[in-house]
Amino acid sequence: MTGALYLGWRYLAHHRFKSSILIASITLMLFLPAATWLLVEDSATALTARADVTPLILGARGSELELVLNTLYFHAESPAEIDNQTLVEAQATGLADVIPIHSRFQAQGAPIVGTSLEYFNFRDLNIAEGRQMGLLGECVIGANVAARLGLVPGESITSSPETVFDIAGVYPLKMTIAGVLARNGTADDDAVFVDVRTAWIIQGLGHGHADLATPGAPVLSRREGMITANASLTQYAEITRDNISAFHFHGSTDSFPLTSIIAVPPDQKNNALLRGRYQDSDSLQLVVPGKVLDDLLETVFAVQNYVILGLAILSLATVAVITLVFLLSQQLRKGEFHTLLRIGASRGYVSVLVASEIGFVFLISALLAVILTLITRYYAMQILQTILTL
Amino acid sequence: MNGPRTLLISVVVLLAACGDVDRQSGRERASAQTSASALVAASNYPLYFFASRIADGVDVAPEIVFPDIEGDPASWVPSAEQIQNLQLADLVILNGAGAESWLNLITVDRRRLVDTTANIADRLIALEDSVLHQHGPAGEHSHQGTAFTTWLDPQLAIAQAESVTNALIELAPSGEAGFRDNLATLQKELMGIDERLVEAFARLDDRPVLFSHPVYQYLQRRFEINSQSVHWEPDEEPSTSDWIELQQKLPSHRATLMIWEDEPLASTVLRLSDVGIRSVVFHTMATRSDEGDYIRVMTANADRIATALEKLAP
Repeated sequence: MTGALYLGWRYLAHHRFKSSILIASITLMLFLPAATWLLVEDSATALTARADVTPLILGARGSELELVLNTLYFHAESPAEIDNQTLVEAQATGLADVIPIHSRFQAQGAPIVGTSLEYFNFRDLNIAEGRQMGLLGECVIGANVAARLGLVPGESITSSPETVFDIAGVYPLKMTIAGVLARNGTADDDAVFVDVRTAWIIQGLGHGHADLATPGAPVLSRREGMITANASLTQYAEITRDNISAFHFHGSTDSFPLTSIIAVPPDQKNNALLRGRYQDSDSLQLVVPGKVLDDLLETVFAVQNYVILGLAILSLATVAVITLVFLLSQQLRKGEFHTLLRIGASRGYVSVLVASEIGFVFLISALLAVILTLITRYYAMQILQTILTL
Repeated sequence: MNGPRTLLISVVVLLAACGDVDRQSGRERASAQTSASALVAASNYPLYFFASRIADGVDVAPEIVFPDIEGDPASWVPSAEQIQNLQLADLVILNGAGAESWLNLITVDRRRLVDTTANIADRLIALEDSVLHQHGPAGEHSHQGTAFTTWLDPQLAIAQAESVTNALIELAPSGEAGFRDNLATLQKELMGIDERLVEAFARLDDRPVLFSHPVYQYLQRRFEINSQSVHWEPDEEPSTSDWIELQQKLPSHRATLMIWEDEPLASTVLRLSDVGIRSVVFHTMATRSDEGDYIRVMTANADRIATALEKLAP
């Protein structure tokens, strides 16, 4: 029988082009539905895993999904802003620990997330290299950002202007990298974390400049209790130990913006009480991220079912075509089989020969489909992170 | 979210997955700070002194630390190591009233901050000499502040010590009795200082006084001192314009005593005495003093004032 298998293998090797087309067709027929199903399952698990450990998100009324995606994945399209006073008031309720999130700007392709130290404890993020951010203007970067840009503690990263044409906008801020976070396989690996006040400086709400009260300062006019600077007054583009004392904010920080607030109630009772507080708010919404993503996933699963149905129909057509190919092939090879019988091969031998050819094609196709599925799963998280932060 | 957008995101999600996601629970917080020996950092020397006295001898008391502040505490910027220590502390006891300008420059866990003047906000003194300035289209603005040397008024110091006690009780509830006993003792000592200062400044009898620096607002208010301030540094020779400013002040404010933060230069003392002004030191105690602890230095301050006023002609 090994002779029949050998002849079958040699036949496929000899007809490389025909065999390749068959293998490619069957590989795709197996790979596409399997990969689709696995991708959706994994995506759902990944999305809900991060959402499930984030009890509540407080933000401005509007798209719930935008609010959740921006808070969890630092999605580039930021939701409407709320003011910092909302954070103070939420904290004052005593019903939950609150963590500010300001996710609006980018630095060399990575989202800048303005937050507080509580975020790192909440997400269980540890410093792998360097130290935690300390001074205003310092940042800690995710493992992927460090690897992609080749950055280490002590180096710097600069914020990007919001638009190319923002020539009258705020100066980009050069931020010193205090530390690199240990990889944890989430969106945090792709972000640049700063103190929320550093994010406000990037937004132009705070700045540093020469002391206008000192002699030689670029002053346009000086009258009783009022100094007006002239146009040559430059604002510092980097915060250093030497100029940090010159940095200040204009106006009350209570009115400064946040994109959202993560609320972490200690128990279900406080969770319910807090949700009740914001239920009737006209300007604010308190959402359960898991529930919002469940709604999204319902749509995803519905789409998945349609896609798999379409692929199943396509697979049936492929099977029919392949069957036809094999049947036609048998017809064409009638003479070859007759010769085999005449030189002493049994009918069983010929049947094994044909079966081995079909078997080899399916076996190779199945192996290729498995390899492709594994490769897709391996790179899928990175693709997902990239898509979610776009 | 409208329909097409949801559908688009749905399709996008279909294309991705997470084969290598480390699905750790974010709820499991790294509570490395909850070690047996808690750490409390005080932001200035008086608060460090109060906290140390209140915690003294209490079994469950935390370790009290005070950062080594070099130079003027008002313009201090903590080093990276000092910031890390503040981030590690279970509590950071602050004076408040704008004393910790460095707090706006560093990242610390806000939940661990204790503002000891939060309960006496109505008794704080707003500074009036802020300058308006304008640059760019943002409009006029000023950097206003509050006088922060609250501990120079022993009654405010008592209120701050009570805040420190409450914070320590919250951190180590089983030590409440010990903390309260120590607070009672400290309160008596602070009341003693208050009485001494009342007695000393009573001898002024509304005679004008000069302060070498505008840092004595609470002392001035508590003891009703008829005073004005200049901006002189004890270790620097006053400039000509400083002397001119003084000469301009004297006709309307005939001071015979100038109160300094630290020992002034002998040449300055001599020149002041030529215009009939006696110099006396009243340490503000924002940082540790070689003279001793808060009680000892405040007692010495009161004694120096009393002696100086005895020597002044009525």
